[in-house]
Amino acid sequence: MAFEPVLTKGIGKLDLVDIEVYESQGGYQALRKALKQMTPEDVHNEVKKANLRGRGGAGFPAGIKWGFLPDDGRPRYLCCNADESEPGTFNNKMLIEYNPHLLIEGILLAAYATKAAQSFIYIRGEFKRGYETLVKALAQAKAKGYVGRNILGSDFSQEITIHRGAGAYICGEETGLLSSLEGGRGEPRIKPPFPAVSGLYGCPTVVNNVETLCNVPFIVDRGAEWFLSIGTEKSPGTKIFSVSGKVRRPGNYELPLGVTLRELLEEHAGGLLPGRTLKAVQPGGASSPVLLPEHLDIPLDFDSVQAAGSILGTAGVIVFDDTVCMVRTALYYADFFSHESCGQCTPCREGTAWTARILRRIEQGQGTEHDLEVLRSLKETMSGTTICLLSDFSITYLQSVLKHFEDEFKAHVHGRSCGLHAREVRSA
Amino acid sequence: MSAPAWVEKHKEKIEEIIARYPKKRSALMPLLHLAQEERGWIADEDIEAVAAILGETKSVVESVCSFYSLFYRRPMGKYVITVCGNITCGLSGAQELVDHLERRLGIKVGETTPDGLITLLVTGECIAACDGAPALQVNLEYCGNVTPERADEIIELIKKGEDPAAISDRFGIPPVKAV
Amino acid sequence: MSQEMVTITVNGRQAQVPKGMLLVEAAKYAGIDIPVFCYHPKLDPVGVCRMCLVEVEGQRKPVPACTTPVADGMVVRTDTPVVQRLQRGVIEFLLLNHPLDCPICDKGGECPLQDQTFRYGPPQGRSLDPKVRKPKAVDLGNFIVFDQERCILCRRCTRFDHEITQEDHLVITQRAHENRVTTADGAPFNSYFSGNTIELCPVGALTSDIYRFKARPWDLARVPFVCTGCPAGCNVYLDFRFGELLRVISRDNPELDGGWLCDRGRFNYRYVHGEERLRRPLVKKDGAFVEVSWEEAFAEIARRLRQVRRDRGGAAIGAIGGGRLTNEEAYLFQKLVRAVFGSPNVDWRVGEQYIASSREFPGRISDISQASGILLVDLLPAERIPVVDLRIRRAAGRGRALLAAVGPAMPTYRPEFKAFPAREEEIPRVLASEELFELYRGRSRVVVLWSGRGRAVGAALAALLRRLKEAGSEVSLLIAGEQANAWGAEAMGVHPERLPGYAPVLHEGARRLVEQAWQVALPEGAGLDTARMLQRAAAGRLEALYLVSANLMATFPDRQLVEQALSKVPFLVVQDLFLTETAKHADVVLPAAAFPEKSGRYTAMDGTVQAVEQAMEAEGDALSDREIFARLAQAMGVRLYASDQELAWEMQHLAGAQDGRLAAAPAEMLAGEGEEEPAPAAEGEGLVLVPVERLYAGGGTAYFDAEFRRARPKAEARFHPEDAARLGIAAGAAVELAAGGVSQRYEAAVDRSVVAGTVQVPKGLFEAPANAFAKGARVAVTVLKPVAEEVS
Ligand SMILES: Cc1cc2nc3c(=O)[nH]c(=O)nc-3n(C[C@H](O)[C@H](O)[C@H](O)COP(=O)(O)O)c2cc1C
Ligand code: SF4
Ligand code: FES
Repeated sequence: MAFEPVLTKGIGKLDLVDIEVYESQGGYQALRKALKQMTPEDVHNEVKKANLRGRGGAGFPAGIKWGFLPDDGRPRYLCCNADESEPGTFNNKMLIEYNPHLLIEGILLAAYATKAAQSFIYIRGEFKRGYETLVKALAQAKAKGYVGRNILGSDFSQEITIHRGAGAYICGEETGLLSSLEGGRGEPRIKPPFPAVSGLYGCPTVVNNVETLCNVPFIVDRGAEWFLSIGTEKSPGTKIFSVSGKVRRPGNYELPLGVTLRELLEEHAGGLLPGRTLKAVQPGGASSPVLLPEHLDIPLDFDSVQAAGSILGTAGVIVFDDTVCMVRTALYYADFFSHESCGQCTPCREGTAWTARILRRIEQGQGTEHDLEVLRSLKETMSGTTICLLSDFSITYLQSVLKHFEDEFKAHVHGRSCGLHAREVRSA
Repeated sequence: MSAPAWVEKHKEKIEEIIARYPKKRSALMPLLHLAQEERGWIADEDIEAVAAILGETKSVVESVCSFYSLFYRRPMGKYVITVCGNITCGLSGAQELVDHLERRLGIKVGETTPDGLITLLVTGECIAACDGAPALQVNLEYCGNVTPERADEIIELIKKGEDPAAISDRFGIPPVKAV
Repeated sequence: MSQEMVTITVNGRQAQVPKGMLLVEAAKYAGIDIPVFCYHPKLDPVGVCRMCLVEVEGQRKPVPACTTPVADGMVVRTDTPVVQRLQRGVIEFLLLNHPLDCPICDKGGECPLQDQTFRYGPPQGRSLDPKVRKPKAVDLGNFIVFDQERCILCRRCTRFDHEITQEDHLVITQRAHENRVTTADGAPFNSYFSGNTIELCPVGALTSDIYRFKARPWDLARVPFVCTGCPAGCNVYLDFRFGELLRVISRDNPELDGGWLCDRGRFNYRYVHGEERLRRPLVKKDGAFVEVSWEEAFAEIARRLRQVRRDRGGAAIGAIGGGRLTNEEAYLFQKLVRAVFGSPNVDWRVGEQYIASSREFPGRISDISQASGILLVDLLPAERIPVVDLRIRRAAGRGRALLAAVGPAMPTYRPEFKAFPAREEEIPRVLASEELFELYRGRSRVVVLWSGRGRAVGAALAALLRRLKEAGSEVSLLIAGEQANAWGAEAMGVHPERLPGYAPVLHEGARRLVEQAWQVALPEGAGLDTARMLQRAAAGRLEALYLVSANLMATFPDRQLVEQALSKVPFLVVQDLFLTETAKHADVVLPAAAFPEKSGRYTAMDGTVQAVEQAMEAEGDALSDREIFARLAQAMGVRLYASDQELAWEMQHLAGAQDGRLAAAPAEMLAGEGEEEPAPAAEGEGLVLVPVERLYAGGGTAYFDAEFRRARPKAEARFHPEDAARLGIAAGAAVELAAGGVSQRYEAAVDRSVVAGTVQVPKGLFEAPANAFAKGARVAVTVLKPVAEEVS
């Protein structure tokens, strides 16, 4: 079963941060190829043909997104979304820390294809090591002439600015990211206009995830056909699954899209802890509705997961076994979202805080049936009603556990604990 | 109030930061980071200095600053230990870890040891170290699988004045798990 | 201007609406009201409250009507179960932690949150959790009290402070449910425009400290009025409860105020009922004032003036004032002086302004919004015509208009502007410079705002504007009067050289016209202007002086001269609201009605004439200036006018006063007719003293208003940082400024906007009158008490 990883190849074995090592593995060849043999349109077309779907959560095809940029004389910007803060998701961090040149090369190719005037990497504040690694890698790339003016003697010039966040989940949302990058509060903006039309400083802007961009050099180097040969028809390529929770070997696993949940958990993540049974899995981060043991054989690609009632999202796979209290899980998320809402929209600001208060009471055995009814009803007023999707996110997982694990909620409400133990983590 | 020392000390760096962006205002967060690197936290005079550099009001800078959890507006210990309080770490014993640290350090979450060495925090944000749950950061350097015993070792190193990066090198989370 | 129209359907009703209009506005065309909280037509939409969500055919999710522009064929529903559920939901969310203390909330009864809860809200809230408590009754500044529990975070206030004033002091801090409205920097919210946030606030979170707990809105009687604080002419409503003026709020006039008010206009009204109002006529007997009846007061004035006229001729009487009167009163004032006192000496000019309008370069306040170039000459608009300043900031802040300022003091704008610091006597040279001309040349529409100070400046301005006009620009000159109705007074002939309608006093035909209308012979020759009347009086050559709403001690640039004149003149009558410094010198003091107590017309700084009707009974025995003039004339045996109708006819006939507009001063007045002013003080050592206007300074209403006095500026001397460093002055230190035998104490402040080499002190401060110093004086600075060294 030796699937050859693509983006993560060499990680853990080679020091890819060193530009020479990266080059020795074929690094910056794609850039060379693009600048020598391809027009920006060629690169764009290749990515479009490859149907590279965004890895940041929404799965939107990058090639199509790039095509939305109007050609009206305004400068264009490319932003790499390295804010990775989705609970249970940690693959961007690995790519940045262990394969930064791949990201830089991906950015350069995307910037070339989109004719961006300047590129930015918005990296979350917690990734201090990642930031330093990128700064170092960028300096090397500059010294080698991969970044800067007239790259490799071509007409193409590009500066990459690394911008550190400072602890705000919402800055991962693309327009929140732009607000933050402009020196403001990371408050999302109303769409339309979409960033492609009016983004950074009101100019056409592409926002792509780290992993998305890391795929670009391979697509350019090996061609769209090669890319399409991996994964499924509608979800081609590999995906780095971040597996965590109640498994033996949590970690990042790069596998073709469409790998089954069972294979991922049992063959790669080492299976459940001894003596445990599987209760539920979240396939794509905090907001993804639960998959149940009966879903173990579904292929993990964008469409199959959706068909099963959840979302692939960031492919941050979180595993809950029979020791986990599902009310407790809902409360973790509720606390998280009520802390991370930017606070602009009424339903999100008030709703997330209210949800957390109700869930806390329920968890402590002070809830009522009325509370459960209120929680169920919040779906109507909190999803599809706000500027960005955080509000929706905050309610989807909750709805799925309210449905599938109603008995656990009832047990809490009726004064009995569900008998499972996981304590709240107090923050000051 | 006179300008804090970092403004003079990093004169060129400040220019360089501003020059990175098409618009000056984008330098706001980088300048706050710069100020915090110098002092360990952001004081009123830092806010004022950033406002002056960018031609914004203090209110605006404070408004932006307060949006971000990692900008500290009160004095912090030399080492800031931040335990991840999100789901995976929570399900893997983060609270037990916090309890242990509180006992061991003799302070509550949010407090700083009397000698000013260590501040203990819990973050609600997932720090993207779920493969090393429960995880924490020492001055934003990662440590994973932090059992109470490992926590003690980390504190010992801190007391010896060890560099957070070096601590992370020992207690960090390997990118690839041995099978 | 024709606008492309599109057709939309809202709840089945079709409407033609301008393309691109926001749905929330467009729905009104179909007669549908969409509820909002964060949306406000004068602010950029942000779409955060989510109250306006509606369903649009073809859209997967409900859309916010406040941020969605209409497109042709759009089919909208605002009444579906989904929309209703969302509206209930938003209100439920907003009320989760709202204190619902409506019974004691000022906003109750006029509260959008209350009204919309009534109309769209859920029958009951479902929360079982106790409400989150937050600070209540926090003082946010001089006039605003903030109740954080009531705040629904619609951000109207912070957006106002960002977009409209561009001051960026009120902001949102923290994140999520920790969001708070605050000034963040710890400074009080003392914007000159803070009060607008009270009206913008859709709940009772921001309330007026002065109006708080005074009335329920349904007990208030509302009278439309015009603010008389300055010549901006802002429209207001006066709210009364049982005849007591309790509140002033804005009444949107897009041509003038754009819906905003400054805090002086809004909060400086309690003096109307104030203890310090003059309520009875006073006559000085043996050095002390005694209350007398109007009859007695009039008899005394009539007796004395008749005597002067008989013994020394009418020309021995002087009369000053009028810039604060209505047009009608100004007209009657000069008629009283000329026809009844028989004196040519009448002048409205009480300070440094010499002209109030310009016929050659007409313009409207609203032109500023369309301007591509704005030039400020010797004027700090925020301090004199604050609401007009908002227009300037908007025009410049959006990058549409080039903004430059010439003068001894520079404004403090967030948007970039070009500064041309120049001492008063240097201004003409700057105006004549090629640099300035080139800056504005080719700009399609140039609006100049000027203080009306300095004849040489007027001449230079005329030359500059003519050149720009020749080069193809449309040019306007707006003169910001020191007094609210300077233009009206000037047009009505309260001027030593001009009869009503600007007719030259010496012009035979003009004289005949007036004489025929009045049926009296006009006094011979031209009159004396204010300065000359004062000089004569000081020299013992004026027998009587009649001052109407003219607190010369505070406003005239040479305080010493005023003091000499007032103490020297044998008979002094002062007609005013308060016993001012000036009034204290009087022999007879006449209590005049305050602005809400009288009817008439006021002329804004762009010539717009606005009528008001008396809104309340006068306090005590106070009489309107009009009535005082009429009865005084009567006491002197003359009927000043027979009926309102006759007065209106006369004013129209002689002054060309027509409804809506007043004519402006002819070109030769601007270009500097009349004698040259004495040159400002000579060069020398020391910093040049620049007395600057401060909105809340002055010796009148702000000073005599117990509830406004707290906002008065302190005696502060502002230095440029370099001068401060050179002289060893720290902010907060006590300093003494001295020149020509005068010395005064100030608290030092350091301010980058001060022009290096100058020191700014406020004009019109009772405790440190800047006009005690000679004009243009260079002052020596002594640090009396440095501030304690900061420990850092
Ligand atoms: C609340 C919220 C948080 C998000 N956080 C992230 C994130 O941390 N990283 C990321 O790449 N995308 C995140 N996204 C998605 C981005 O908005 C955006 O879709 C993505 O960066 C696009 O990149 P892609 O097309 O390459 O996936 C988030 C979206 C939402 C609504
Ligand atoms: S939904 Fe929440 S996070 Fe998103 S913009 Fe609205 S308030 Fe901010
Ligand atoms: S009025 Fe539209 S969102 Fe507030």
